[in-house]
Amino acid sequence: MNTLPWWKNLSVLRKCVQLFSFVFLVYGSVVVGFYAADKISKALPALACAYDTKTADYCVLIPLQHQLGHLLGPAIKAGTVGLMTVIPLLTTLGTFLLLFVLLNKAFCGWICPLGTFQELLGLIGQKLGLKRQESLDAGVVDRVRPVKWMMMGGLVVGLPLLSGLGFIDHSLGDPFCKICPSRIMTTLFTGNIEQLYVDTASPTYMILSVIGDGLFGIILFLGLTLRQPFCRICPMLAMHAIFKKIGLIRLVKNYTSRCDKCGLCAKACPMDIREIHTSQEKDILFPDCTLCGRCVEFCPDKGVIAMKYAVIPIKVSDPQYFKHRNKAQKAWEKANLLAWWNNRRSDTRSVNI
Amino acid sequence: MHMRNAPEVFRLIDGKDARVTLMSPDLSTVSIHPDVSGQVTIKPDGMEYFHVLIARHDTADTSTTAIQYFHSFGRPTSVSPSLLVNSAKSELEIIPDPLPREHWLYRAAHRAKFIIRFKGKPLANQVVELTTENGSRQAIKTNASGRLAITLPDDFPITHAGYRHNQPAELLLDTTYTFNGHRYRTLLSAPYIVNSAHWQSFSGGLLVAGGGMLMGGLMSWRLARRRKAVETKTRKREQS
Repeated sequence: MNTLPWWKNLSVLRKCVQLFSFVFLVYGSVVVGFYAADKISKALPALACAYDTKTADYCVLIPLQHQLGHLLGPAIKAGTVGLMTVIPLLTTLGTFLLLFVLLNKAFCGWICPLGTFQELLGLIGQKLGLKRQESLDAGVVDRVRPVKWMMMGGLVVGLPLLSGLGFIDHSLGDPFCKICPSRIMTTLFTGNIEQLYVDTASPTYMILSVIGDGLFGIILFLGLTLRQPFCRICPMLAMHAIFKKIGLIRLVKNYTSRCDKCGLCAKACPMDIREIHTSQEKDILFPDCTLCGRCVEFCPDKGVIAMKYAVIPIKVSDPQYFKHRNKAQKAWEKANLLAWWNNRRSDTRSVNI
Repeated sequence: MHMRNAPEVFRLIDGKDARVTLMSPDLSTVSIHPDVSGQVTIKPDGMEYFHVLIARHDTADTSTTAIQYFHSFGRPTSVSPSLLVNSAKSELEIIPDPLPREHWLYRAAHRAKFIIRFKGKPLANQVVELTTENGSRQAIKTNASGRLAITLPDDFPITHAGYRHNQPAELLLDTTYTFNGHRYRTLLSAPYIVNSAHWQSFSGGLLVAGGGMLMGGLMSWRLARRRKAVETKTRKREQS
């Protein structure tokens, strides 16, 4: 067979899962029912985005900020830290960890609605024929990498806790949500325009809302030409990186000397993890990895890179697959509006001649 | 901060001789006795989600029911809130469709939907009167399937910037239906909050997002230029 059937194409399968997850997470209550979505969100707060009324969205960051700001901070201040303070926090982390053990970082690459939205933007950019920035240069990547940790430490943990302890204003109780582009994106997808606003309630709210709206705008444009712009600074990626050793999905590499001359895996990586190419270690699940599996798909050597569920291989690099996949990718990239327009113009010209 | 274990306090207005019942999320009911001033204090029952307070007063020719839903914290129950909302609480009922979530109370200038039922069947063309604590009053009719959609009045006389600085007000839906010479009246009261559009500007948000897109374009151009420069440099180094 010369072409790769779609059900054997990992990227196509991933996109199907992403589409299903997007519909489920953004319009969750339509599927499970309004009250059921609310009840699930309440019982397991890591499954909820409190700003989206239609959803069973998965986001551990909002309960984490609220519990640090509303429960732990005040309890530390009052010296009353007890079981009732810790249990909600443990429930949140427990829910997160349960899903994390099952999915590992694949949440980012296969399920996250914002990740899917950014891939959709990339697809639009590619189909419009915009000049795409397939990968960033190493200097920029290195400068961007620590931002996700700063977002995690500062916006998700530090400021909410300081707010709960009474050191800073309450308006900094959930600063990450205030700038989160997913909050704006998912609510816009449900027809609710109320999350795109400039808030004049206080200078802090105004600054946060301007950052949030601005960030959303930046991603809207940057996503057309650059792969996964927000994922690179997302605190969820940092959160996942902390626990990556306990997840069941693994990305492993059997280094060969041929790897030194190749580097296709790093080029295929949407997060520009060049270490996949240079590493001689077995474990190549790096903190920035979203487990999209593109490195496995675009490795031309048999058995060099593999994605495994515990010990069971899900996808192993294979020269035959690579050949077909590469061909399919080239054909896919060739089909865009600009190319069609240029072809049409050259056809017209030849008719005139 | 959420006062998770604070008791809920309600006051019965013109509710002398009314029988008061509390329905919990697991659909269990308990009778409540108001104090001499008509105040009803409900201690937390440890169950999470919506509770319903039902006050009923019957005379020979009239049955009046007043209903208020409220949210409590605690352990989740296995009973669907749909059963609680749809369970028969009186002959004539105003059913929220749906009840707003914990963080999403009824809001001024927002649509709220209800279903009016009599003995379980929807009432078409039934007039329902809406009054608010802020002085608004309007009458709305249900459609053929007994449904009602109201845009809540944006009638807070003074609004401060930020939800935290505004107290909720009370809205009241009131409808009466006569059947076989008996008059049934039902009232549904609920808190509603100020419209955030008073301090949150959508057009401002749109403008900032537009600015962000321009910045994204600029960043995209700069990154492309930088990449090109790096590639040229690498090529030159390789050639030399």
